[in-house]
Amino acid sequence: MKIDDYKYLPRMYRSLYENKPAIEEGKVWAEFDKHLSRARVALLSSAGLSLRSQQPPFDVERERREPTWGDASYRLIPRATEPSELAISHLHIRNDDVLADPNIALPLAPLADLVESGFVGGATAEHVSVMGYQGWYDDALDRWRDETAPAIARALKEQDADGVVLAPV
Amino acid sequence: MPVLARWIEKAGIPTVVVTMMPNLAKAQLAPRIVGVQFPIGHPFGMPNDRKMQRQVLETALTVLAKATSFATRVDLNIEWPQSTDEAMKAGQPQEPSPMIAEVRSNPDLLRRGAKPLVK
Repeated sequence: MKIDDYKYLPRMYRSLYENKPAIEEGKVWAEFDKHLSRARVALLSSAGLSLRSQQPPFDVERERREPTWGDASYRLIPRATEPSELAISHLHIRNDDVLADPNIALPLAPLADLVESGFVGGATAEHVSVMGYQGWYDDALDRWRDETAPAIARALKEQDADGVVLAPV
Repeated sequence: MPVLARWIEKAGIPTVVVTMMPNLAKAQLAPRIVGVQFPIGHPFGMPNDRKMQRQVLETALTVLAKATSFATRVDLNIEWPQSTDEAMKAGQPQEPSPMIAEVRSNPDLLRRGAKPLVK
């Protein structure tokens, strides 16, 4: 199947994404050196999920006031979280289907199935949630590179993650 | 998100990106990519279709563990079980995001400083 990145996007998005130079250059590579059936993996979603009763939501109110700004914080989501405990804060996607079944963005249940069947060794105790709208201008990425990404990498290492599946929404 | 994958990979943790925009992920040099032709907001598929969700995750984990070289990309051959119109509707917010509303009223924003937005 030949995938068209823009099939389900309004026409104007093409000019936002197409022909953008790469933010970084060169190869990066970390070797996955375990058998999958003995590996512990983490999930990372950009759907803006947070724990309803225990975490502040991503700050979409500030984004409404300052549309060029995006919340660069992150949340850790325990692997056994019930779907009903997840809230979503994301102004760039339709929230209905994620709320109806968060597994379409953060597949906690499918991962639990694959751990149970032995396909993969385990899941980290917590997974990672970010809100994917990073803001409009290039310098918005600075905080992601200097603070958010290193903090996420540290959290994943503390949980002995052997690899991570990232899913932008 | 592809660049977030690169930063995590640089920190020593292997990554795979599951994405509706695999050509963009490739252009942004993500190390491992699984492409899906799904609506925005649905990287693992249809709500409550556990079999489809598991198939996507299984493929992602296989690419994560088995890819031997940078820029490995696997596109999944799963037809979306809704019409294009329904899929568009399933992905787009009910009201335009603040930035899109801003761009519509001031197209000049597209010409200065626009960068790849990642959802």
